[in-house]
Amino acid sequence: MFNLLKGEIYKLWRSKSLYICSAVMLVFVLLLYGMFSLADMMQQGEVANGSYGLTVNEGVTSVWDEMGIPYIVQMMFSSISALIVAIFVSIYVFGDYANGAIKNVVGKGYSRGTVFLSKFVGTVVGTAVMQIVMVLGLLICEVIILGGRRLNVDVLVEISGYVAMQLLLGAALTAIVVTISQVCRNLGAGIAISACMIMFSSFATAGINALLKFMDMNVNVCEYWILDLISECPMGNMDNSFLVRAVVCAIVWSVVAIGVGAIHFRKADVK
Amino acid sequence: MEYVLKTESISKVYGTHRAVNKINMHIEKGAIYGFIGKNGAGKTTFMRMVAGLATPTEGSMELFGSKDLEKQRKRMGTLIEHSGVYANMTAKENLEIVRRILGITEKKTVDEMLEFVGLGATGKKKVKNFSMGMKQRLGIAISLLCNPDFLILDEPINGLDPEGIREIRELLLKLNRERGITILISSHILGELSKIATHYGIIRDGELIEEFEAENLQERCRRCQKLIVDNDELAVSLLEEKLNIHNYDVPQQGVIRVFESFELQEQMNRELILGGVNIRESYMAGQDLEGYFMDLLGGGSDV
Repeated sequence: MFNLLKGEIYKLWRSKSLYICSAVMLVFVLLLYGMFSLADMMQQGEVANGSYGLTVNEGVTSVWDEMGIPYIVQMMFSSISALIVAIFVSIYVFGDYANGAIKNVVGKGYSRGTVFLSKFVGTVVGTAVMQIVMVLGLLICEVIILGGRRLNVDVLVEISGYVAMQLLLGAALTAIVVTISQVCRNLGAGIAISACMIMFSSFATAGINALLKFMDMNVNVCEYWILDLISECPMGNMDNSFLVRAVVCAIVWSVVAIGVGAIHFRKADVK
Repeated sequence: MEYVLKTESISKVYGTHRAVNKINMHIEKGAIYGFIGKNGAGKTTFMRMVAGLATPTEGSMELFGSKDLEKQRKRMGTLIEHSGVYANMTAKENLEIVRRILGITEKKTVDEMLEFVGLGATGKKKVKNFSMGMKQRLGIAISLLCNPDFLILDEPINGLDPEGIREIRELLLKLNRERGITILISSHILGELSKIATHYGIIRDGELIEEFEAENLQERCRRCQKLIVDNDELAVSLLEEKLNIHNYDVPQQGVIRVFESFELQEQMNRELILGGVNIRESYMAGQDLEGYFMDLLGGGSDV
């Protein structure tokens, strides 16, 4: 297992997709800060309101007062991050099948379960790196654009706790996408299914909730679905109830996804 | 006899299609086993099962005399269908990944292997810019990295130019002679295969129809007058008495192969008929290797 992980990590650092997806995350960070800077300039009267297709509300002193750094971090994790993670995972997992390199691992004395697990761990490391790069990008932009005046120890501690929880939830999401990609073994299908899951699963959970309510069952599935947990993860005042639910759900989703993936991989022929 | 691979009635079924049907293959230690069959005959499926890439539907196998296949497969190198390499990486990076996966501690192994297969000078060139022959050599390097005792190569000389084919042939012979590596190799280029193989296995429609040693192949391909008669005992006595022919054999009942006096073909037929032997067929047989396999495999051009 350790050797497999060493191979995965080496491959990860040489994977173009890791750098490209990290760069895309940073581009989104820059766009976000660029947009907020422009809005701020409009509010300050430096640029006419409505310029460049952007309109700001009258009467607000500065967009930066409305959009604190914790809010921006939350915004990135709950919108862009999951989608880019899904794309990266699909490309990374499919890469082994596209060129047949998976044959260099399977049948080398490792059980298929171990091979799958190492692939999952390698991918989690990759997605964690991307998300950390995104957060660092946000902090650097904050310092460059606003001089770091909004950053203090309390805020950094708050963000650290939030990012740690997001990384845990992100690992569960990665497990699900790894399994989808492993089962599909097709890049297009893997990305399409994962993207649809990320974009539309909230509708599905809302629908299920309505159905359960109709059946007089008082269960809110949104509270247990990993993507809803990612978007609803609170910054700062994370109560114990959420903490326990999020940790348990992350573990359960990870275990279930890895289990399904490993069983499928064990039975599947490698081509 | 020490066998590196022994399969017992191994089969692979996809839906209703039986891709491999009850194959009993025996590969002796130190052999270069040429695996021959038409496209779709089941060669690759069989090799994939041996390599652990596909699970047999039925049957069992032993590797190095053991049924603990997962453990024994560590002693096996494989190159099946095409070299599994990352196109955006260099040859060294590709080997480095495999070195780490295999847990080989000595870093210089990678450079040594690149030198060994003639890719030592590729430097930072990405695999996507490699020629077909270079990719195949890299695939072989990957399969050799674990210092295997048994090498499975599926069409390793496909798409190579004559020089590339010669290089691979010499490399395989070197591995077999110097390192004692047993090799299972499939190829469509039968003439090339005959230059290295010590044993052959012929697969047709998923079934292993023949398994024999290279020495026997020469015998099988020998030029002869083939007579198919109703009474072989009477026929051979007539051949000896009337025509003084002694260089012949009777491989099976009613079949006589005469290896001399081909110019007496008509006389042979006449003497046998006059002697009361019914001749069902009489023709000159014996051919080159390719012709022999074509006959075995039932003709066609996609051998």
